[in-house]
Amino acid sequence: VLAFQLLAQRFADFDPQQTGLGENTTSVEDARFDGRRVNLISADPGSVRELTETVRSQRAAQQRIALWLGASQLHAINDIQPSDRLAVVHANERGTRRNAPLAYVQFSAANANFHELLAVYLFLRSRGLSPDWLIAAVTYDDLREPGVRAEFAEMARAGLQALERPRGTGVHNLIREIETAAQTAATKDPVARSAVADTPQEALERALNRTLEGVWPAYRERGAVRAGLEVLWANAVVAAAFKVRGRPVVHVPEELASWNLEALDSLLEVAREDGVRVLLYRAPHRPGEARFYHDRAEYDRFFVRLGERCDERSVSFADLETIVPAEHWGVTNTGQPDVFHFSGVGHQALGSAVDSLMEKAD
Amino acid sequence: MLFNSWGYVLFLLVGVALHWALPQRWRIGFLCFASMLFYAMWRWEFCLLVIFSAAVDFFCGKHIARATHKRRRRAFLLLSLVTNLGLLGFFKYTYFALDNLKKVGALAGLTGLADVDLGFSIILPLGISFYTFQTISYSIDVYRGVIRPIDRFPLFLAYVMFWPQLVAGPILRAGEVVEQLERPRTLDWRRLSGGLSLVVLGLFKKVVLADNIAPMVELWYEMDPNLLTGIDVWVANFLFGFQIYCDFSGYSDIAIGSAAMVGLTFPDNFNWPYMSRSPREFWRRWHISLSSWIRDYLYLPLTGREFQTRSTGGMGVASQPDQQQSHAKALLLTWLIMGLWHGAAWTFALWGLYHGLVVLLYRVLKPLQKLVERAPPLAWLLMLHVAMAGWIPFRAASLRQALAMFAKILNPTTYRISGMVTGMSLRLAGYSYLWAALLPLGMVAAYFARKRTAEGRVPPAVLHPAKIVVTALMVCLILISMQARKQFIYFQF
Repeated sequence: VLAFQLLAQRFADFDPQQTGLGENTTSVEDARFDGRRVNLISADPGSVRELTETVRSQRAAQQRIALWLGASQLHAINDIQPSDRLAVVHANERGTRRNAPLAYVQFSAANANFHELLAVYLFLRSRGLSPDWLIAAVTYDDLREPGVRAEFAEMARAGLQALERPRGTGVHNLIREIETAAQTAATKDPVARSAVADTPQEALERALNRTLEGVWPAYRERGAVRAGLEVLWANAVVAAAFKVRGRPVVHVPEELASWNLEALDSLLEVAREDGVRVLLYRAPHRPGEARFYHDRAEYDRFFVRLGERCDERSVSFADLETIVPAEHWGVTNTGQPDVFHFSGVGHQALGSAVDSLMEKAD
Repeated sequence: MLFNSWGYVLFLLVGVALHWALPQRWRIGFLCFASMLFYAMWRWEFCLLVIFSAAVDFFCGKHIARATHKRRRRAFLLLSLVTNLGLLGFFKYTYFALDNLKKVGALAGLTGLADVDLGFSIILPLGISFYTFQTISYSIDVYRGVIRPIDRFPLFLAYVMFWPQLVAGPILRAGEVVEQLERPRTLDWRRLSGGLSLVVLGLFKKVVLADNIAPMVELWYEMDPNLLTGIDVWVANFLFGFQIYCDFSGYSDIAIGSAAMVGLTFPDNFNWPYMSRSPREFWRRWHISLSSWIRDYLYLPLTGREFQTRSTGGMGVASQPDQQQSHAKALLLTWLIMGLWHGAAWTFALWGLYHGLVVLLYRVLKPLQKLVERAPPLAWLLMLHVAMAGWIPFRAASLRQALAMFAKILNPTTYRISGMVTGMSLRLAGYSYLWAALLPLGMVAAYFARKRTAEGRVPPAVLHPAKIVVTALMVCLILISMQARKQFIYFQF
């Protein structure tokens, strides 16, 4: 009990939401431009409503909508300063300065693979957020992410209802993933669901927890203690592994990359049929690493192939890998150079680069 | 009521205190009341079902003992079996039967069957598989003349409903419990603290180990098996193997510890099953009360051999190398039923058949028997992998997933470390590889530490401080992890 008390004091300010992005890297959950919400990192109804409102008002003002999809790079800022803004805000600012009839809105999710981005697109489309432009960041690392997480399966389910017919293998994959998620949920339901839900014990547990929290303030911090310990343990394991072996070169399994590219194809197909123009870009990557995070040759080959794929489909493709200088990147929780998240200066560079690409493409 | 909840901690402390404060003559009644309250914290209306089931067996038991004619004795036994198995069949297997009927109908072109709907929904009563087996064993034991019928209904109800074993066992024989319930008990502080230690150990296994392994298992099993490597599948199996062990043996520890706190001794339900070197040993160590039940009321009667009378020893008897080959069918049937007892799905049937076949192989293949005798460490390693592979159909969502995962571990070309893991994928938690390696190592270390302690080879100057530190650490981790959310896996059976 004493140990728990001490741990609670140690972790009372620990915010589990901010873990995983790297040391001193912050997730910006609500970015605004001109008072209007311009980003989402989850599909919670309140936030979606706000973004829908932004799109509606911008359309009413004769603005075209550019929907920007990507991974955590789009919402994480390293060493955040009060004046720092996300790239999407910078892009909006630059667009406004040049009087472009264009409004950027963004949806980003940590480690989102293309199936999940497809799910997001279908979901937003079903909520009346069908854009004029679709901008997607291609993060090579996320091509190794398998499956579709539950919240995205939920979005896909809503989005697929509004889709007239399944288009492409990626959409079929998505349907299969939703079915698997539903089957898994049904199978594990007796174990996974709250075991006390709708039982008299539920009320008893609530009352006991309330009482315990009242008489013992440290107990209130149990979530933070748990999360803090998990993160400490995870970081210690990874740091120890790196110390012994050095940081591994991260490979993207071919079968997973191909599987995820099927979703990209479907995304492009659905967008084409919707009359939406598309810009894909190679996401910024920390330059000047002593040892490249991935296998450099595989990495370059992939983007060459992606460029060709875009050419075949008349989709704009740009290489923004090196637009953020090395000094504006953070470090990971294990003290390694972070190759995915950068500072506010980096966001400014990315926002300007994307708007400048849009200026040319338009 | 869930064991892994503050509600149960409060219930146990108050229940034990009241039990010892009450005069002896009121204790049986109090245990019945407390057990009903315990069950009613889930759904009070299903208490009536347990009471009905118990009443039928109490009635049948009395009449079986009184009857002078064999036919009459049989008739009452049959009434007990039909009632118990009927309830179990209705609540547990109706949907399964209907689904299969529809599938067969579709194959036979009977399209009308596809629209058949029960028109009502069935809720599986908590613990029905366990208390049904317990009451069946009572009727059969009375019929066999192993025990005398219980003459007081509250005493019989206390035997059936006693809260520590009501929802997930151990499945005990009346002969093991009733005499203890009747005997005057005095408060023994050593026993009380021993019981409390077991409760803490059980909570630790459940809320700290099993519940933290569970998310990793879910990640692996939610993936398309085609994306997994052979090593990934082993990692998933080892993780699930330890999850289910910690979950169920944790439950059993809490049950046995809670019973000890009111002065009752329950036999062990688990005895280091993953340290087994053969299937015979495994089934003497895993879910001992169920496999002993299956042995005495199914397997031995099927083979025409002498039954035993206690819920100890497990199914070791079925794996003896000297078994007649004609017993093979009985063995496979027994394991098929054992599988389906765990759940109304073909994946569980496959799990049962897998273990039946493994037992048969060890019975038939002499090199395997020699391996157990001559190279115990190798035999242990082999059995550990055999046991872990056996969890595939148990955990898989479908037969297709189970077969695809079996195919992966049988195909040597799929053996490579997954790129998802070398990259420390956040999603797939590369740590699961580490956990899958640490858990067996931890188990072996704990086994030998326990052995040394039991043999008195650890000096008290080391043992006592170590116990205090370990217990404190366990309590601290329980405090952090305790949430009345995660159900015990065996609750669904």
